[in-house]
Amino acid sequence: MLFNSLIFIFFLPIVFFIYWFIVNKNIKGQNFFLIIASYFFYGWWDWRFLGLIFFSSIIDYFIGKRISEVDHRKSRNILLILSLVSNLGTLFLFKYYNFFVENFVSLFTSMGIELEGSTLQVILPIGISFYTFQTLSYTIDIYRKEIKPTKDLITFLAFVSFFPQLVAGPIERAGNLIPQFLKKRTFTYHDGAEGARLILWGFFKKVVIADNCAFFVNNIFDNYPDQSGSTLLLGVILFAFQVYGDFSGYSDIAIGTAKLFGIKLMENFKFPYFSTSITEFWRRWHISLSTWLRDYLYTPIVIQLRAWGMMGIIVSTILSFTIIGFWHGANWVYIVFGLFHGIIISYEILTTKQRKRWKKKVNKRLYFVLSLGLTMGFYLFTLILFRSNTLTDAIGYTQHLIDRSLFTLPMIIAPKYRMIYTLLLIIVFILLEWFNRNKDHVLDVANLPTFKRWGVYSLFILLIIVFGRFNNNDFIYFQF
Amino acid sequence: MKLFLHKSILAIVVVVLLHMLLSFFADGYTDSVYEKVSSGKKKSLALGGSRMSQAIIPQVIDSILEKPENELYNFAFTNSHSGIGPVYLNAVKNKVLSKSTNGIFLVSVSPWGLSSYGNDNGDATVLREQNFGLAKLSNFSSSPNYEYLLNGYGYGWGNILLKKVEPPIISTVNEMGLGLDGKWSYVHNDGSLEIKTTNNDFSQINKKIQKQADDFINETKEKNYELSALRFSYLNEMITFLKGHGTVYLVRLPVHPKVFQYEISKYPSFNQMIEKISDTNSVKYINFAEDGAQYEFCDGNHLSRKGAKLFSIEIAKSLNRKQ
Repeated sequence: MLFNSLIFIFFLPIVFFIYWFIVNKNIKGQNFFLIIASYFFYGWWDWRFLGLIFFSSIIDYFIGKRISEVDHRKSRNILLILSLVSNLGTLFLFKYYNFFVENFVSLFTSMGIELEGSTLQVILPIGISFYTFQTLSYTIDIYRKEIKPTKDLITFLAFVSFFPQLVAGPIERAGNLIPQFLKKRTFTYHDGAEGARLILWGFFKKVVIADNCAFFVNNIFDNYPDQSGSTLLLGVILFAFQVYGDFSGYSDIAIGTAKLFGIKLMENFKFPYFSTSITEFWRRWHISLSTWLRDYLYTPIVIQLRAWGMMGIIVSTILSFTIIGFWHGANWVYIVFGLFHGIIISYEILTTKQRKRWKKKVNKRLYFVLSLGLTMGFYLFTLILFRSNTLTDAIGYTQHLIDRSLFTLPMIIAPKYRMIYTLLLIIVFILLEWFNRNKDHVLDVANLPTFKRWGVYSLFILLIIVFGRFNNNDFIYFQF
Repeated sequence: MKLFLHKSILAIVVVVLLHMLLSFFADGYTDSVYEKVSSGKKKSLALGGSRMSQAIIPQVIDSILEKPENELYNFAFTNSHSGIGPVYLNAVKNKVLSKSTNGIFLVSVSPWGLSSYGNDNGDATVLREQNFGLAKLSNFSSSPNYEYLLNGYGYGWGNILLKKVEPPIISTVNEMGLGLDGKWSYVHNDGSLEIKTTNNDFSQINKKIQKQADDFINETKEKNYELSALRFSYLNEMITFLKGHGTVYLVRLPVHPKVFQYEISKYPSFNQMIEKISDTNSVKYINFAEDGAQYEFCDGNHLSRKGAKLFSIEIAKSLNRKQ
């Protein structure tokens, strides 16, 4: 089920009502009901994959329990490996198997050896990368003795399948979410209002900003050989707002929806487009993924390679970011996307002192603007990879972009007026984010007088009604 | 909780009322579908894709036909919405006045409307129209059509007003010489679709038509169109149904000569296939495909309003001769 679908408009109030007024007598009842609602939410897309979530949950529930019961290091290691194999094995099978087969066949064919690889005819279960990482972190945390396993299967199933964040995150940690499922939840007006504000802001980002940009982005990227350099530049800028509006919009709706149920999810975006370095960008973008990889991949590798000194840090960084890229999809474009980010972050690590010296010498504002410009320039360049279907397309797009026609006016494929109002909406969006960058989110208006507050709500509702697109466009991150 | 519920319910009620109000503004400007699924049931229909939607002006035909009481209505949509198949057949069955037996039905036959993207293997669930508005509808004749606005429209309903105010704004700004050109569609009360543009200089537009014809041809290649046995079986079923409600004519519309040459080369026996269907079902087949050079097009594929008026006169005369 999509947040921006008609069915969700009916689903949410019904679930809210049953949760607070019918099954509110005991915690187990509420958790059990959340599982039912979450499985219904997921099954609305394809019920056949419910078994996969259940299977993944059960495996980790029992392995987690067993790890905490045994003291013998070797047994604990075996159990952890079992969890890793079952989770990553499932992920590999559904997401990466065909990629590896096709690439091995191509590799051997290029060496003159004919191989026949059989690929699987399977569709990628929505959200598999998100809930797999979530359950993995549970067993790893138990293995590290950072958390204790839950003895309550219902709670654990609710933790894995909690519908607001099931299919596109934030990737929650057991240490944050499970304790919330174990205690009695109380509804507060503050949480409810804050949740509703986040949902409103998330919808604005998704259906007004992202989906209006998508209209042009699809046109430009699908026909890039016929476009001028300036049009291609516009295309990638619009894609930057599409992907941000789409994914951060989803996260806001997810966090807001969870608040309506008395659950606090972790922050996933913190105004990333105002970052002055790629390192800072990843502290603000998809925070739940970058911190997950920091804790479970980057830090362990750095520790393993500590004898290598700075070289160990650089290797860990490049490797971690390449894996972040690969996490997004079984395609070379994502691997190269991650690799580029890893290289740039390594450069930033190596030049930290140098850049601090520059910062002191140069005018602060100028330094900020230059850093912001360079960061966004690099980010936009890598977004070409992110949006392209193949590396060839990405190279072709870049070649067409860096052309004399880069210095001409962009050609607008669609009606100009539609482009004009899309650009105006983006400008408004940037200004709103800029002036509210120190708040939790843009619609954090709880302190405004009632009249002004409702004026703000009305304005955003009107913008959604007039400019929103509801073509049931999937969220981009569903495919990951 | 009480305060939160009171405020939420109030906000929801206001939003719902606002939407109900907005729905009453929906009309031919809303999109190329709404007017057609919100007009009442009809006795006579012109059926097909976007070529038909723009080519047939029922008011012009009714004024020439010897039986103007037929009140023809253009119920053609686009190649994506209304390829001949189960979805469109269901729409047509719901649109025809059930008691009427003496209507006329102009059914457009084109290779594209009778093709699928690739081989459909006789599986109706893979047909392209399953993803579009008509497939989600059970009601094709109520006004306002909430079912369509909720399931098929795809925009916030405020866009209904935006679509109404855009044309005069664009025209005014364009007349001021500020370079804001634009194009918009309007579905007339008779169901015919008119594409309007700020640039009505067809000498200019004609320069682009060759390229647009090429674009259309390339698009059909990319989509890998293949004639579909399934669609042909539904064409037969549609003819059988419509014959119960009046007289059926199969019509092949005029297309740009370049597109026509491509259609002949890709589907050399298409005409014979249609003639066979017309003979089998004892319905008349009128073929205008070779007459494209006589008409004005707004692109390489669709007649302009001026071209549509001329063609509607021509087809009305032809119907008078055939009746």
